[in-house]
Amino acid sequence: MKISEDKKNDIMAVSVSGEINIDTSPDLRKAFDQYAKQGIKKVIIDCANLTYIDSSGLATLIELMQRLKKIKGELKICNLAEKVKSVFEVTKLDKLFDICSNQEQAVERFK
Amino acid sequence: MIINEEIKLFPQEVPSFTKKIIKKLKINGIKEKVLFDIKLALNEALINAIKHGNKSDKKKSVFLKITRQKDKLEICIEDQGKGFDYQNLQLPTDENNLTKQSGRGVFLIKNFMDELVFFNQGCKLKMVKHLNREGR
Repeated sequence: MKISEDKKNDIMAVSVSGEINIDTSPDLRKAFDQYAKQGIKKVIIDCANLTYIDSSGLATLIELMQRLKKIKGELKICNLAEKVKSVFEVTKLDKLFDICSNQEQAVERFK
Repeated sequence: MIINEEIKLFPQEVPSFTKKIIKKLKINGIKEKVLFDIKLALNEALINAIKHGNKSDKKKSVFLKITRQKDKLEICIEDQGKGFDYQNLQLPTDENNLTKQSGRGVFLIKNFMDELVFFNQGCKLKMVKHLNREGR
């Protein structure tokens, strides 16, 4: 998994490529630890290049969303590919997360 | 095609192992969308077997057998644990369970494979994927 970050104003857009699984989840957690230290409360995870997610990855995203909620922050997820989206849909986590079509829509929904 | 492996891994080592298995299946001409489903189910089942079955004890093994018959892929996984109550699993899609950190593995296998059967108090499972379908 590779993570690239783009901060605009108070929003951190995190592009995740590859897989979020039991092996790579700790890297995403570490990235979020840094955002917390920087006081960032609005985070977008851009999944345009995310090819795979499993139950460990889903659990990590739930944990990160809850961490942000505790500090009155928000997590948006965008650009899910068809197969990855199907994992969210089957588990009904598409109802739990705010899933957006793209980064622009995610930014708009923070307002 | 037959894959027959005795596995002694930690849970976090499973994705790399599964990647190699999926590569072998890809060479056998299985479609990308179907491979995604198999990869997901294989990862979930192996991690469950190692983590919950064998309690991450590397002295214990997990046995993996994959066989292909024309348009059907059959995967059998067996751990050396004590089993689990697979008939009374909570539904992760219930509103009260949505934010839970665990409990989605077997549910994902059921939904992304075409058949799932448990044996031996849950220490062994057989899952089947029909390869002529488009995947989930």
